[in-house]
Amino acid sequence: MQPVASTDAEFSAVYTDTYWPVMRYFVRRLAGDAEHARDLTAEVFAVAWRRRSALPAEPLPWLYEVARRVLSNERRSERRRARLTEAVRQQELVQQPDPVHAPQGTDWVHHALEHLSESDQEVLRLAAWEELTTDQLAVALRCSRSAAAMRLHRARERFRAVLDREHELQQARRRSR
Amino acid sequence: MTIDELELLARADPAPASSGPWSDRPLDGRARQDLELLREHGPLQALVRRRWLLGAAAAAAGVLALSAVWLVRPVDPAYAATPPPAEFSAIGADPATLLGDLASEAAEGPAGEAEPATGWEEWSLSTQVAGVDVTSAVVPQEVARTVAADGDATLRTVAGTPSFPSQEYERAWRRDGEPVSAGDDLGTLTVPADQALFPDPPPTTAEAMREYLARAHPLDEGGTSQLFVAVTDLAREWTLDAPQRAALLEVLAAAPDVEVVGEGVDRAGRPGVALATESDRTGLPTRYLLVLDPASGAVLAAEQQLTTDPGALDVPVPSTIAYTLFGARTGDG
Repeated sequence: MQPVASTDAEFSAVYTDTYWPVMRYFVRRLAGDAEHARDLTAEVFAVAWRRRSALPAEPLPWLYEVARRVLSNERRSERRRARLTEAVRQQELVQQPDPVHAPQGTDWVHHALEHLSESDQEVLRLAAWEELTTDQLAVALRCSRSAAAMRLHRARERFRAVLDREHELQQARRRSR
Repeated sequence: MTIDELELLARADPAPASSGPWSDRPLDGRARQDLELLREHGPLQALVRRRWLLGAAAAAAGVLALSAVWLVRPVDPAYAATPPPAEFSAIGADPATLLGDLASEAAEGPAGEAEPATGWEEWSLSTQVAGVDVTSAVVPQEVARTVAADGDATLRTVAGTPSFPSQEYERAWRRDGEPVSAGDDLGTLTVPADQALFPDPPPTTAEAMREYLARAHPLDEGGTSQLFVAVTDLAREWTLDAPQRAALLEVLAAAPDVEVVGEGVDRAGRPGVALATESDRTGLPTRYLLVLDPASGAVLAAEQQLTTDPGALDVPVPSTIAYTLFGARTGDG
């Protein structure tokens, strides 16, 4: 991946092209909390700004990699907050934001996804929602191309097994209604 | 199943690009504002500035329920706790001469090797501790930094000892249940090598040093206050050897709008000589201080003060709103 020098104007162009995809990355992983997604998106671009002189020619997979780290740091500090904050406040903090604006009838797919490890979930989300290719996955996950391909392959297998099971359960529930 | 599992998941995308407040379209007001803050103020200042904007909005609307601003937790004392001002006595020195002399002395020092910075103590009015805005105590954060062989840096933060402007604050702190104690683990952050502000060791000539600092901070647009910020950020990543220090001091000596505040001691009780510059780039007139070791020219501390207008912040003026102490209490055991 060739880094390209980035002037102020080039940085602005990258920002304009990738702002919404980066925000969607967070919306998808924060149960639809758009305001929180905005703040984390700003953090991703703060990192990108520092590295603006060496942004990759294809910045989006790299930005997803930064986003993954920002989210992971955020989740760590959320856990810390939950641990240390007073009991009453704590309850407010752990309240889930509004339910995700998912298409109708897809809850069971999300439910199935939650049965997988975080690592499996992330590679599947990046492939299905951010629509990354294997090469782009390797950048976003900071691993080799072959490792990315293998991770996706195995995650798909495990997801398929869970989906089959969830699908059968759903059918059974419908029949019993 | 007739479609594959990836397609099924794709159809269950909770934030499709085609609809919703995150859909692909020209940047909206918030996105443009964030970009402007970043271009105008740099990454660290942009985040601080954003909080100020939030604070001002909350004050204007009379809303006290927003999180992430320090206006949310009213306490009995009228103002948020801030550290006492650092005191320096005027020495009537000219900045270029003072810095030039320090640079010459440092230039004669032995070349060693730049060492990765190992830690510092910091406090800022805008930093939340354990997710809450602490307004009844000054709780410094002690950061220990370790750098792995691959260049990834780990920052481990623990709470320092809380201090109080007066007994009134201490009572409010007790009443709130003393949310944090000295030594509490405040978390660990990993900064990957490719996200370091200054990935390469610092250079040893003034010209190269200025260029090196300008890669991380917009010195040309930001003026001397940005230079002070860059010097502080550099000290968070590297401990300089004598020739590198000389180069840095020469860059400071050449900067306009620098004032020699005087001599005194820093918050760790070390003798220091303080320099200051003022800027209102972040929205409020702010005085930036650097405290240097009068013998070696090493950066001991950096501070920011509000001098004339507190804006929406519930502090009197003048007030210290942030400080960082290098090499005093953390990182050395």
